[in-house]
Amino acid sequence: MKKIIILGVVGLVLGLASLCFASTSIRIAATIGETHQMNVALSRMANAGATPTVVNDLTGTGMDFGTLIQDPTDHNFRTPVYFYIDAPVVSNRASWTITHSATDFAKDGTNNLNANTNVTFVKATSTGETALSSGGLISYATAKTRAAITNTELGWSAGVTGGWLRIYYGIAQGSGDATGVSVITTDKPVGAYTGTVTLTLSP
Amino acid sequence: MKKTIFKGSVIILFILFLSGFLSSASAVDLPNINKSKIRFSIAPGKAEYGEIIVENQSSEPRSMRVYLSDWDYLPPADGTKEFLPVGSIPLSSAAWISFSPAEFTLSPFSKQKVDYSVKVPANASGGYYAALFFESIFTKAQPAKEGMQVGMNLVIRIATLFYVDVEGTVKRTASVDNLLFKKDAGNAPYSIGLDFRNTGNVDISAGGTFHIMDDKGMVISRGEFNDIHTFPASGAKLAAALKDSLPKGEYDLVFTLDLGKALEEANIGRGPIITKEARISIGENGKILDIGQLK
Repeated sequence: MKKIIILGVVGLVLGLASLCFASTSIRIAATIGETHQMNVALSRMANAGATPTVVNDLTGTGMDFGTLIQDPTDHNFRTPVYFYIDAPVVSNRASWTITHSATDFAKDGTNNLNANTNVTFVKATSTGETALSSGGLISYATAKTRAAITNTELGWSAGVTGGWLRIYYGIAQGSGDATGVSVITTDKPVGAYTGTVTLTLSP
Repeated sequence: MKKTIFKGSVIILFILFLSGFLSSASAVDLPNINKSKIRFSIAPGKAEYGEIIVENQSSEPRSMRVYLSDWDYLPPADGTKEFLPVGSIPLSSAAWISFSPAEFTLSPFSKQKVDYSVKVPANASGGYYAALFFESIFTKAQPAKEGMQVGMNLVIRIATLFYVDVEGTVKRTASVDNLLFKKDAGNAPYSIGLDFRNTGNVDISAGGTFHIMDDKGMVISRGEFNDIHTFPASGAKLAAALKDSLPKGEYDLVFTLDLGKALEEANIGRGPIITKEARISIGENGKILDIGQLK
């Protein structure tokens, strides 16, 4: 009987010890979901060197250049106002593209400002700007149909977060304008000229 | 004096930090989506269903419009796309896709589920494509007041691309020819080029490598081609640079092209692989004497 009790105690001790030293595998799993997002900041510049005014209200006035001012000397129409759009992307995809497209910047079917407006594409970072080879200073007429900026051009690759796309829009000044862009003359009929710029983020 | 310099440095660093913070923090948060590419293999006459979650992470409500579009790859086939009205391309799958809702307003910090279905006609074969846009109007120009009034609207949209392979009918094939192997005036001693053509009936995202073997079978150089993205019946240029100079001798130039990159990305398959080779003969000073047939 004693033997049975001793054997039972030994078995219990060994059993408990084995429980104490047993290795247990716990499976750890985590899934990172896809996220794909483009944020936007629209800034209005009253003139070159001015402090930008951020237009971040959806009910805001849009890229409103206002009423153009007629130069008393050459009678052409100008404005010192210009805009820029910042379009930072938040994405965990390996590659993505921002495509720029636009409708005519027009009053009607015949009269438009496509060849009187400058568009510039740059890569922006917290320390400054660099020109993009695929954009540079071009006319609205050119930017209307082209401009695809890839994550690589903005310095994003293999998990490295780069800069963001900045696009400037300005009415021709008569000097320093893009190729094919000229100042608005009195030939342009008076009226409201509007266009729609569309930025598309795609994989 | 040292203290003043230190103080000045701290102020400059603070301003730099603040300017960096402000420049990235001023953007308005627009909704995000959780699926930007959807690839299905669906049998003729069958359908698949799914959902896309649109999330507003901002404290402002956002109005969204959802609509379909066609898309096509643009030259040089590097993946850049052109978005076109529905019915613009022969391989459009837009007519097969239904979704709901088409318009909604996202409350602050809320999510909206967009359900979709893809129904493949019984007589379809090959690959078909479409884009589903999630669009928000960011700003709208005000009506004219007087004089030369000018303004622009700004629209922001995010695309989910649909790739639909009709199960049992897919031919993922390509041809590669017109080998170019030339001495380069730039930094790399030689440049390599190939003409790629999608001869199948589905989209092909391809990439590849090359290696050069000497007569002893030793690999003496290797490199990579650019990734290309094509639809059926379209072509692209594969290009690579050989970084090493070649001493006088006979070599085998071997190419391996992977036509299944899109399948790997979607985690639904691999390959096929194309392997080609050509014999090249190099003379004194790296001069190319002969380029054999691509086999």
